[in-house]
Amino acid sequence: MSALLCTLALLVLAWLAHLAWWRVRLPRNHSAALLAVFLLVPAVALALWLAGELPLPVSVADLPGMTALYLGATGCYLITYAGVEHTSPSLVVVRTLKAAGARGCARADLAGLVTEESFVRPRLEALRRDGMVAPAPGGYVLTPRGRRAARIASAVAHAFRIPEGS
Amino acid sequence: MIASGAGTAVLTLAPLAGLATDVLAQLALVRLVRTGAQLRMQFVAFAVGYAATAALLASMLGGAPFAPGDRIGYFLLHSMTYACFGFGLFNVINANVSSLRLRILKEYFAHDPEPLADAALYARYPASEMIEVRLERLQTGGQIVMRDGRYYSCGGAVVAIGHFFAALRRLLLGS
Repeated sequence: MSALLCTLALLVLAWLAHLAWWRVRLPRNHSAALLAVFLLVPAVALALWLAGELPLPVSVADLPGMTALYLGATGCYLITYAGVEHTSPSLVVVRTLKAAGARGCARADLAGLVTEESFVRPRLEALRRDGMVAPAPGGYVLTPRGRRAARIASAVAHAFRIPEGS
Repeated sequence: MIASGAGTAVLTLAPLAGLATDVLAQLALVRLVRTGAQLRMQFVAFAVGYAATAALLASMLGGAPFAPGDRIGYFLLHSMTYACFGFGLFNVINANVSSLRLRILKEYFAHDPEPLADAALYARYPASEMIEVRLERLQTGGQIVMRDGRYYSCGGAVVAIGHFFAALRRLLLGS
């Protein structure tokens, strides 16, 4: 049980460190900063634990399992965080309809919620910030990193039979 | 079965095998089932993967020299790991269906190596079309309903997810 509890404790600590950082000042690159926090927290915790000459509460054989859960949960949080950073148009629609209750909404009411400015622009900025596209005469082009990501996405869509542009 | 505590590292193989089963089950389902119920197939494949994970964990932990609390702890730890892997896979696949960011990236890829201007992208993703696609998808999924030309929420998990994201956004970003 100690392996599970230690992993959960580390995840809670990392999340609290992330919350504290975000409340003091928002980082420029949210994803990179999140990754740094979630990787640094267990390293610092281990260093402090060893410096205090305390016996480890888990065995070395538990470390692969703990690492798998910790990294898996970190990945899940990074995915979830993307929904915090960039609000989904679908969720905006659903929340608006819920707030409207029995009155409901006409299409015209909902049309004002989703604009190019509020949904397309932040995603374009994120692609530039993450180094997926770079400026070129006449617009933007894919960087090698962006091309790799697009190839992987297309391969996934092909393997799982997801129609392009669905 | 694990002979001693030192062998707990091998338990990590259970969620990995579960993830592989999930992937294989999804690949098989999309080829065998032609109804286009993508989401349902993903849930079925996830369940198949978890069954494989749980079966492996039960066989490896069965009779191992652990206290009942540790046995439960290892089972939960590796089950949660599988859930994280499955959630990741679910999102990787679904990003191809619903992520606007990924669709924009694919637009650049379709034009590669030619540059793509912002104006062209805005024209490709007009707000009117985005709202249209979303409303249709939400109606198909049963999250919203249209009656007499007006849309209504059907409640459910998507509303709860919306509230969760809004609360987390307020807490972290203050907006």
